[in-house]
Amino acid sequence: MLSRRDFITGTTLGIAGLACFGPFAVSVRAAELFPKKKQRVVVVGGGFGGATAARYLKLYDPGLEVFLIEPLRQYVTCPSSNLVISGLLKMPAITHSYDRLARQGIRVVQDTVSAIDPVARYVEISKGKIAYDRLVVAPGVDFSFDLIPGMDAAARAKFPHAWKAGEQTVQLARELAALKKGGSFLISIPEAPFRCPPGPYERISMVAAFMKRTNNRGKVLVLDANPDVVSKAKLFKSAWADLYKDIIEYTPDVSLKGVDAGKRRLTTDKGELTADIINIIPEQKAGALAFASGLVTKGGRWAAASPLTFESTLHTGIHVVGDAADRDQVGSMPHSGFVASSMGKTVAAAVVALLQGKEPQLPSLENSCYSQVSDTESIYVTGVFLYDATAKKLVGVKAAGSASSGREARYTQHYRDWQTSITKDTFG
Amino acid sequence: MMMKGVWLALLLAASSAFAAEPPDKGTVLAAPCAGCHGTYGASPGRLTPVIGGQQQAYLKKSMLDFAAGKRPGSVMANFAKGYSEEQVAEMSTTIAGWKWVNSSHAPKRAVKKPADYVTCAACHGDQGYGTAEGPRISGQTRAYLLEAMQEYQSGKRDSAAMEMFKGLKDKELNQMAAYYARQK
Ligand SMILES: Cc1cc2nc3c(=O)[nH]c(=O)nc-3n(C[C@H](O)[C@H](O)[C@H](O)COP(=O)(O)OP(=O)(O)OC[C@H]3O[C@@H](n4cnc5c(N)ncnc54)[C@H](O)[C@@H]3O)c2cc1C
Ligand code: HEC
Ligand code: HEC
Repeated sequence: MLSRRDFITGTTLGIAGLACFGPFAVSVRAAELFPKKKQRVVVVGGGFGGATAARYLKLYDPGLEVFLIEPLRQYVTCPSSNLVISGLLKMPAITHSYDRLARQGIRVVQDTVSAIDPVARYVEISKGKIAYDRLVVAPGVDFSFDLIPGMDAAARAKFPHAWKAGEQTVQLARELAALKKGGSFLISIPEAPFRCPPGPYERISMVAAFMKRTNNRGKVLVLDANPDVVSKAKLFKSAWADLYKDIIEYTPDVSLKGVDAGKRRLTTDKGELTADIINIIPEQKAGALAFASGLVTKGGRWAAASPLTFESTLHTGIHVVGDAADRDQVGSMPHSGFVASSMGKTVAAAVVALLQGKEPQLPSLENSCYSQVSDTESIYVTGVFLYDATAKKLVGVKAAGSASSGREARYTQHYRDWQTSITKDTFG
Repeated sequence: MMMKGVWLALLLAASSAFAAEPPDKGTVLAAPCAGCHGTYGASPGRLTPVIGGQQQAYLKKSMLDFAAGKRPGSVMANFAKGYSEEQVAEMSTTIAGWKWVNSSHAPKRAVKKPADYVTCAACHGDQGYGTAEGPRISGQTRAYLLEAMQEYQSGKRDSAAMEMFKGLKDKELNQMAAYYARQK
């Protein structure tokens, strides 16, 4: 069984607030914007991880002061954004405001956290500082554009990733809708791990579905840095073989060596190529704030955290949830919105207990990722992740983690239900 | 003196109400279910069933049947295998304790009472709210009710109690699904 000590080891190193001087250093003069009246938890980042943490903190302990700091006025979900690109859904279907969370007693502050002082326990935003008793950091991912030679501002505008849903989703949807007859859509997939393992393959399917629906005789050219389809490989490949044989050209093991925005040309280890629409998904890492505030170990890519409470192993009092958390440390969960939501609830429960000096429950996480592969059919994969005292991290229960046996229209309805359910659960 | 005692009691009550008890085991286990079944099991979906406030014994049996492959399921056939019997019991108790919220996916207009309403009540309760013998069916999503009854009709889902559904026609099932989805 776990001892109380298991919950606190690893978090004792964290006195080194000095790690975050530099451009992100907290200015001493900043004034407290909201004098604290009760115990307060501040959540940074209003995606699936952060918004869920904020909502469940308030549900679990209505007496807490809960702050949610997020620069965007509206959140656009990556989930189902491939369906928007394909023309099956419109942007409003995946766009959510924070108004309902605000009405549920969460103080929503539209701003960006520029610095964290883990010792004095406050965060700094543009107008001043906000103190906390515990902090939840959920900044999602950022992109390693620097790993692709030539990926300058012009290239980023011409070759969108649309791996954070929003304007770039709209851009790809427009470009696809306007694609000339016989035109091509190229997608470049980075080496795993990346946000949403089945995501690129759903996008390929949805672009191909558009081409089939409009009979435009187009092609989807896939450059995958991985040796094979990373997730639900059998299901995706059989859908492609059955439905899009003449549309999808899949090449594994391709490494992208550089891009030239002016000439619209990509260089790979297998040769040069171009296309009418180019969608480059760069490698990913924890959101910038995690690096700037000393939550990532030197040389690391993701934020270091304990598998039990997702408390940072570098700074006490700060919890990391969502895509930003280091899977090598917390466990083998994919970088998904479902997992981010599950982590948000785990942290909410743990923080409520910790603030009362009580021992948190063991974490219990689930994942499911539906992917639509045609205008009607979808596939899925599931997972249950529980704490394994030997491995000292969350481990997927084997029997609970498998993919659907085929593709079905029924799962498309479940996918829509999931989208409705999880966004209501997250944004109130 | 008297007054002071009362004040003290009030203060104590207030301070304990102030900090809610941290979530228990069942709550933590059941929390991710909301991803598909809605917050506190109040499913907003068309086909995914409401589970919050469902009968405890039925929730537990369903999970164990999914896990054992006795009941057909898609994602549930996987999830149910992720937990021990004890964990299933704990989450079922928590979920049964949540408030039932009627699905919004019900017909807008009144539906004629199906002929065999009375026999249903024997196991599903007078108002379809469920009993120790049978699950709650009123206020469940319409599409899910139909799907469930078709599973009994085709024999995909095995239940001695629901055996009589094997002889029923789709038209009858449709009417019952519409009727119970509207029952509040
Ligand atoms: C195409 C695609 C399809 C996908 N489909 C699915 C799916 O079907 N199912 C699924 O489960 N997952 C899916 N995902 C994955 C899912 O989108 C992510 O895993 C999820 O968004 C992670 O949540 P998060 O809270 O960690 O990060 P995010 O959702 O990215 O949220 C982070 C938030 O933090 C804010 N932020 C960042 N820095 C700061 C700062 N300094 N101060 C304040 N705020 C800040 C950002 O503005 C952002 O809103 C998909 C992803 C893609 C790209
Ligand atoms: C990915 C979506 C998803 C998640 C997560 C999920 N469910 Fe389900 N659930 C479904 C679907 C879909 C069904 C219908 C059966 C099927 O296809 O598997 C269902 C059916 C059920 C039923 C049967 C209801 C009835 O009236 O007979 C129960 C009980 C249930 N789920 C409990 C749970 C519990 C408990 C959890 C969390 C541990 C959970 N579910 C998590 C999607 C989900
Ligand atoms: C003899 C008792 C009995 C009678 C009578 C009965 N049921 Fe049931 N019903 C059950 C039991 C028990 C179950 C759960 C069986 C299982 O575990 O699969 C069930 C399940 C169901 C379900 C599936 C619920 C779910 O959430 O999946 C529906 C719908 C249903 N019954 C409708 C009806 C209707 C409508 C009638 C009347 C025409 C009826 N039943 C009559 C005992 C009964």
